[in-house]
Amino acid sequence: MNTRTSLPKRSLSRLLSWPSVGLWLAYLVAFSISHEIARIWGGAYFFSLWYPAAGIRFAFLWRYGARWTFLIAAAELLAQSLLWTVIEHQVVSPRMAVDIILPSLTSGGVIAAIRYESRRNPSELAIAPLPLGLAAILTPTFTALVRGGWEWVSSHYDASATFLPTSIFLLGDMLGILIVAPFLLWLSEGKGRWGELRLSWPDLRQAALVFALGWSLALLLPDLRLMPIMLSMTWLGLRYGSKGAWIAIILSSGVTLFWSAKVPDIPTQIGLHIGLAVAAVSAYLAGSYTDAQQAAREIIARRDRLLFQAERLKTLRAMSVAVIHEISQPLSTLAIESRHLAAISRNDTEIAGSAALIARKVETLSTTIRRLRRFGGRAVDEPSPLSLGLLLSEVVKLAIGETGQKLDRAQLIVPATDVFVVGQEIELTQAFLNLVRNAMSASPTRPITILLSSNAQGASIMIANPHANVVSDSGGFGVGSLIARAIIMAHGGTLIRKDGRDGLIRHEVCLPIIETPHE
Amino acid sequence: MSKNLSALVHVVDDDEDLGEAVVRLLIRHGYQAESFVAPEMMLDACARQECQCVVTDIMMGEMDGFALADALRARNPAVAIIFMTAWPTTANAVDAVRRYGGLDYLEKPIDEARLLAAIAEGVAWSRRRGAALIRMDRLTARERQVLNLLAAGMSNKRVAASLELSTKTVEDHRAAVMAKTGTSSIADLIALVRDAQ
Repeated sequence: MNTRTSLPKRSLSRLLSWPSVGLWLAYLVAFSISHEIARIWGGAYFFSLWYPAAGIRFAFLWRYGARWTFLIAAAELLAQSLLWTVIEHQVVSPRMAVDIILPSLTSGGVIAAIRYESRRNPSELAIAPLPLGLAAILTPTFTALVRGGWEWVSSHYDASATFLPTSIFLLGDMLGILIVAPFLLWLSEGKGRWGELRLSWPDLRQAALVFALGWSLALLLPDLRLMPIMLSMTWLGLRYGSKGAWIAIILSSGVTLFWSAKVPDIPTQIGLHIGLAVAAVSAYLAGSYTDAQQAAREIIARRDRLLFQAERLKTLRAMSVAVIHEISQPLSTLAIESRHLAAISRNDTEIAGSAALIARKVETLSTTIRRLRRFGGRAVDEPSPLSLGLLLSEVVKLAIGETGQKLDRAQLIVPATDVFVVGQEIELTQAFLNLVRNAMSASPTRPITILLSSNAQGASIMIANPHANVVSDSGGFGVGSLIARAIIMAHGGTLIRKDGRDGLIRHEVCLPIIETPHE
Repeated sequence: MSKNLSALVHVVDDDEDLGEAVVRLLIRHGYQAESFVAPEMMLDACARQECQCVVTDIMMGEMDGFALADALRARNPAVAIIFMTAWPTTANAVDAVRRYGGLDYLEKPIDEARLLAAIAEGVAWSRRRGAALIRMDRLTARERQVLNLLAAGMSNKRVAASLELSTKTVEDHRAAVMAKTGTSSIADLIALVRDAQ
């Protein structure tokens, strides 16, 4: 409860922190530059069919959340007021102020609604990347509608107001979002993204050659307009995926838009912008197709590796069964003979003691063999009451034994009173083993913590590991947590990952509990 | 233990050491016992001297434990068969008891107490069945029909109706059955049929 009530305060304090102020200033600068650049190729009463500032706004709101909406609106108002005052030597009127803040307010509203709906609605529309796609379409659409409505209303009160075509406004924002936002969002996903943009020298040479060839043909044969450029951009998209397409689009946009700024007549200017839009869409499609192909190839390769491992496991299982068979034969003989030896050696206590000891050990081994054999049988598939404390203790032993590490690598904290759940022992062991194994791999040098607790709602198992910057490849397939989640959900529980600001990654498992069974 | 003195148990397992160990165990418990590493060898021995109980592994060479059970049943329906295996499966366990008439299905490593209990039960069952079959051996086909229906709880009249005979004829058959099998009441007849099954 405390966490819930303190959330707004925490959000507010986060917005007022120094990093947030820096972020806001960075947005202010980026918006001002992109807004001013768009004026270069803009028309008399409109900015352009390509308005990159809309893309920067969208990417910022999508990345950092709609709670930034009012701060974004303030930044845009401040930027445009300053620019209007410095460049045009005029003061921004109240009507202009509304013109300026309406797009950011509308964008924030649309993004907030889509984010809320995607959290609430479990349908396919809520699965990435559909929410982003929806937002990329709906944000400029609603912005244009609100802006058009506002102009229609204001034209009734101010006869001198200029009525701009809503479609141009819509296209400008939409293309601005399409060209800038995906690239910025992709870059913001991690530091390694810049590295992925690097091309090998032969690839770079090839890309530059094709790009230069396209532009040379477009300049030498003006009748072809932007057709050669579109072909070269499409090829770059096909060859290097969406990152190649983005670079080609940005470079081509820079050349085309600055070129269009020098064209005197509006129809030719708009024609160039439309041509660029077609080329960009084509490059996007080609890049996305290549990405999809690449992803499909990776999935197939992963599936093949999994199938190979499954076959290997089947072979190992058969070998284990064969070993069990081989062991059970001499064990039967040993059991019979050692008992007999113990029985006939009563006069010699030393021999009798040794024989009895052998008989006991053989009996223990026989029980182990029967237990091992039962693991593959139906009996263990039946849900049964399980002590979570014992189960987690076994899991920790298995994980430590598997990695050959010290016992203090994993700290298990269990309550004084044990917690019981109903479940399938092997499956639940597998689920927790996967989570503990992942945690140990993610923090190779520092200890991890497994904390078991319970309340009226159920049992809670938290597996926490410190975040490591560099994680070595564990050799897994990346399906361990997926399997764990599926098993836990099948037991009526949940698995949630939380990346804490304290540098800890927490996996929290909740399971329904039962009363302590009477043995 | 004196009851077991005349009981002969055959142990069939391709693991000679295990077979010998079981045989020694059985001899210590008062049985006559002999081990074989192949089913064919045991069948040859059975032709010379009938045994009351066979303890057999399931997975062996050319002839497995189930084929051996079929061959044994054809020769001696009164022999008790106990299966043991290192590869237990539910399907095999069901087949062993229901299809091949096994008395028990033991999983290796063998539980000694359970093995001894199963053999004791098997020997007793074999003797009962053997004796019952001998007593019923002299009955004609019609007398067997009458015996089975009487053991099923039918009255003379119902047996007569069922076999389309007169009540008098059924009474004659009943008297003949009792005389040949040495029984004196319907309860004895029911017990005889139960032992023979």
